[in-house]
Amino acid sequence: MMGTVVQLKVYGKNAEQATKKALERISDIENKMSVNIETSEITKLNAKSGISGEKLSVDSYYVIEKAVQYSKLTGGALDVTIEPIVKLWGIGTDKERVPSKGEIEEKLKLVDYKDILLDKKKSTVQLRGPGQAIDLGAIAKGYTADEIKKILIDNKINSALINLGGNVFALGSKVDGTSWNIGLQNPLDTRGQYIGTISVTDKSVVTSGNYERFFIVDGKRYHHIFDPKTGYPSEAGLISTTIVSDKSIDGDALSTSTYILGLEKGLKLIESIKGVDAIFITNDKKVYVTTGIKDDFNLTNKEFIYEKR
Amino acid sequence: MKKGDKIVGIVLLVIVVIALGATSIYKASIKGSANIAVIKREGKVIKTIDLNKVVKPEEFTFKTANGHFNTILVNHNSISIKDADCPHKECVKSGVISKPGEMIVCLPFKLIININGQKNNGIDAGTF
Repeated sequence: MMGTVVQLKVYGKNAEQATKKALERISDIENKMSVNIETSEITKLNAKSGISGEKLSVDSYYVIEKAVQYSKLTGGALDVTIEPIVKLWGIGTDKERVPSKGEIEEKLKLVDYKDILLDKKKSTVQLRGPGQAIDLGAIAKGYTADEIKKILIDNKINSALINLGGNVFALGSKVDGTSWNIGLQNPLDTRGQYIGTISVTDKSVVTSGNYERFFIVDGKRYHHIFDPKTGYPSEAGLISTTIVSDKSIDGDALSTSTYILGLEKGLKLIESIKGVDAIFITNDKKVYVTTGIKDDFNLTNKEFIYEKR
Repeated sequence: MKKGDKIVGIVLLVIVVIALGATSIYKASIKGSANIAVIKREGKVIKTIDLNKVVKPEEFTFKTANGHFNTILVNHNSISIKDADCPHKECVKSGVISKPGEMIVCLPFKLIININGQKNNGIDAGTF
């Protein structure tokens, strides 16, 4: 969750109060789940790996449980035990570098979601082996968006736009009753340049892209979405995956997993889940849209080719 | 006062930067009309510029408390971060912004530039 711009547009009488509560909730979740905060539950859990379990809040337990469900559903494409690999590469920090093959193989041994031992009754989680660690970066923002939505609804807000570093939740419709228009980032252009728009009401729209966090060495680009099977940035042919869903935690988990699964497997997965849709962009600039949202998506950039599904 | 204006009156836009545990809160009510660029560091407005009134290109350099910098370039109706000594220069890579609602962020130095206004090509938010 480190380094995210949070933007809330809240409409209505209670907007100020609701926003204040939402911001408090964001800090609360950040303090529980960030691996960059020494006192967070996840930091403590990671420190005890291979030794004992850590008792977690309802929030952290739920998010980890959900992550494990998605690991199972995606055959391990999403795996929150990727932390040792994330740390090794250090992308986005001042320690970023391309590790040696040996180093990657060494750390990859620690990556396996099956080593997350959940005890629901006690609300504890343990990592099986020493050195194993969890990073909830692929899913925590989605959970946060869902929680903010709850707070806004509790405060009688029925029109709002939650944007957590590109993870968008459009609550209700606009004040004039029309749908929200969400711009889809052009993966090959600067921030704020869109390839098209998707029109939504009461939906989460989450994108994973290789352009968001990366570094370049000898002309090769290394991005931050790691394939848990290889320990390298995922190169499955997609440069951007956008998920439209009711819950943002699902969108967050699925955008990362489909990015890693690639076009065919990704489409198959999305089409098997009811109420979830996707827009995939391949590295040869083809855009694939699932049937549930094909009438809501408007491709405006002519460089990209719309592939009917 | 049209109905639309009233709605704008009750809009609350909040931008927050969470970086390494530090939280800064930005609030700005949207007022529409001119292209006003607002530059903030850690929640405090450090400069506002009416981009409409900029005639010739001009540069400003803002330093952080520990000596880092962002150099901002303004032109008629546009603004960009020309240079900075942050690790990834994400803010420089963000390019030039010119439309109300657009934003440039330098997370390491907690600097935000946004253009106040109401419309942004009919797009309400961007997913990236």
